[in-house]
Amino acid sequence: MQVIVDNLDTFGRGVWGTVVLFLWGTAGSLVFGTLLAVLRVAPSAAMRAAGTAYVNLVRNTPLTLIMVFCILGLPILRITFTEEVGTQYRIYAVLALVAYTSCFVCEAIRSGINTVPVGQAEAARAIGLPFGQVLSLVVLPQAVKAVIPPLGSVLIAMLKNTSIASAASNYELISAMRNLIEQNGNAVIPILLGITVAYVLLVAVVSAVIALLERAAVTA
Amino acid sequence: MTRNRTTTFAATAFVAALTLGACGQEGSPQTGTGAAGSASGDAAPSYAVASDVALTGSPTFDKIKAAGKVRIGVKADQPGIGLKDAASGEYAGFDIEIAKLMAAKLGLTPDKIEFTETVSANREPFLQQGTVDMVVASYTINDKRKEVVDFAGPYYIAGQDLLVAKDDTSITGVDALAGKKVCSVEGSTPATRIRDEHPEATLVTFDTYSKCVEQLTSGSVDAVTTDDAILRGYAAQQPDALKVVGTPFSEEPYGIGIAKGDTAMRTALNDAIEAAVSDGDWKKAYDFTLGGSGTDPEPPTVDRY
Amino acid sequence: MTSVLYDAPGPRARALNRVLTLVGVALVAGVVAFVVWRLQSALQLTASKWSVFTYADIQRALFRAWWATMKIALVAIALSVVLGAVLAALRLSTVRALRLPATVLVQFLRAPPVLLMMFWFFYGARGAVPVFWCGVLGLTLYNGAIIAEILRAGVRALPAGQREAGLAVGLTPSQVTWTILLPQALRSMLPSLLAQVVVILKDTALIYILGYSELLRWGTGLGTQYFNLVPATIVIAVVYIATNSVVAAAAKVLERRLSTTSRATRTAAMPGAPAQVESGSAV
Repeated sequence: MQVIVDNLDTFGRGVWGTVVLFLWGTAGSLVFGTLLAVLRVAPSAAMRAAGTAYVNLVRNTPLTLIMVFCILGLPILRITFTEEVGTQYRIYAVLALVAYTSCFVCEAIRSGINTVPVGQAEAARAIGLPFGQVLSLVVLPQAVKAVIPPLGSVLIAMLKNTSIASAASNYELISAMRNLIEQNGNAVIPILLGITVAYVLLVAVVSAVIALLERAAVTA
Repeated sequence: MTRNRTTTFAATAFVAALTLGACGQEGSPQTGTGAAGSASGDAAPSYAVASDVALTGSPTFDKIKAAGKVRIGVKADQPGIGLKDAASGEYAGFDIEIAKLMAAKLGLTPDKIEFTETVSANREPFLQQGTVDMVVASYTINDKRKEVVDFAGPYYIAGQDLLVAKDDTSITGVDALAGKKVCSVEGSTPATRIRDEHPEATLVTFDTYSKCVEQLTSGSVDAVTTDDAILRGYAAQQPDALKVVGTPFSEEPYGIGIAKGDTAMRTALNDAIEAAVSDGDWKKAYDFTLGGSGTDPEPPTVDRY
Repeated sequence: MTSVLYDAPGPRARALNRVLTLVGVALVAGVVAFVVWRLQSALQLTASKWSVFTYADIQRALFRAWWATMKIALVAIALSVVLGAVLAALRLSTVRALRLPATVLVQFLRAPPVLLMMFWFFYGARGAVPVFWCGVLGLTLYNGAIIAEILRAGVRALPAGQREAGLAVGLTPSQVTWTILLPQALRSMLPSLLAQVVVILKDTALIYILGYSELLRWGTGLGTQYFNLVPATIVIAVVYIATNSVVAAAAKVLERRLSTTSRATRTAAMPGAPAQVESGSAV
């Protein structure tokens, strides 16, 4: 374990990188995933088709490939956000995570919408609410309770998927691991252990937060 | 349901098409200059295969003799050095020629060589576990590695250099990198050197040099840095778009890695390298692969440490 | 269900929908045109970058690379199902000494990323484990734990009578688990299991980071050789999407076939929504 203690700064940078990717990824995929879910239940057939097509296309592509598309493709399309390179690749990686995870967020929300009793939506329509308000005022708030557990699994999966950003100029736990192993070839096992423990702890923290939210949603 | 059937059908048809395959023109596409093999377009050089080689006291050689073949770890993704052909799966590059040379001096024809792809992270483990008999994979000799494996050679002295766009005149060397975006592979020695010794440059890291080169051609980074030999391979592929700056700022002696303690094999390989240098085979191998980048380096002197 | 969210469109709503459809189509067309234009100006659409794929040798090599990916996936799937069944059986065991370690193990295996699990074998074994097996074992450990949870949820959703009847005819608890409960769980959870198969198929791409020559690595190699990395990546993506779509479509068909018989069990499982949770975690 000495090797971890001696390289706490490298290790800490790795943890920080993973956490930053996860937080931005969560924010982005919650927003975009909800949008996709709305598209998939929308009145317009074209909107539904667009939502379905996106989800089916992206969900079946390995995240590794989506990451490659973002870091190679976006610069070619001349889609850039900042002059600062570190931030630039962080944004590309977050975009890849969001593009991919949103599909699963969308599916979680859609299955949540399905758990809301039909009468709720019918009652909302009966008092004259249009589609947007039926969804935002009546159905989605009630769906939240059923959505939190599957959403939690999706977000935990994304936390682990941030590891793929290591191949895209993003410094996170896996990059830290590779650097440490490269420089301390004789202490491979403690390094692997340390990185594993870091992931287990991060997952535990996220799980705990989700459990808290779930309890809050149930009692609310 | 109908739409689903259609999707299923389309996808099945696609996979079936893949399976049956071969609906295009026969043969393989022309390889880009210097990409997989010949830089000059000449036929591959052949090397005189030694006969009746006897090597006593070398466990590696005994294993090769018993198996009737030699397993050599090489790079598969570095043009000019070691690149696996996408169609045929055959390897080509300077390292591959050196490997064939070494095999020839040990009495083995090229068809008795079994190439295994190695990445930087598994070269030492492959040698320690005996997965391969030797490693010829742009493998820099250094003291830390000498603790776990033995090296014959060097057979080439590379140096860290910069690959830039052909029309770039601002980057003249490592001291002109202030504010420039420099790309390399995460965890590699060249990347660490830039991070530690040239913090004025902005380091971008990927998992392969190919991605770095793609970033360079799309203008997202200003330079790619690693050993000049590797950079030459890429420059030879796209001579109209890329160039190597040509002011190396480190010395990377490439050696042939073998299992630790096999002194008999190390001596035999060192002899083989010296013989190849003196009988002109070394130059044949270089001209055929990296020669396209317009360089003519002196062969190195073997270091029998 | 979704139609319950809005009224049957009247003339104005239909007109609005038509406008929305037009706007949507225009938007998609605009994005596609933008991408094509920018790719064109970056010289990514020149014939020389794509003509490589018209050669039979390359197509055959593409098929071999696809098959290499499938081999990893198939071996990993087979092993994951075995490991999943064993872990599920242990977690359902009546013996506490078996149940507890299995529970801890399953929880632990679900935490680290698959990539890290591959690195355990890759770095941890110092090259003693061939790269192919580093990938397969990493995939197996992770997905075995997930499949164990899917199967356990399936077993829990079965009517209690199944188990009681088995015990009543004199079977031991482990016989009941293996011959009565798990086979039924396997059947009712087939859609979730197939969703997990798609996950395994996608995650095989991670092994390219270790340097194993499968579909993605072959594609990057080709892109390096002919410096057409972007076109090569697009072709590889199409192959992945097509392969996964077949599996996903099969899962859908199966789900529909099964839904008539297993509707009851699945609603019974709904409170904790295990099936949904697991397919949700299928990321």
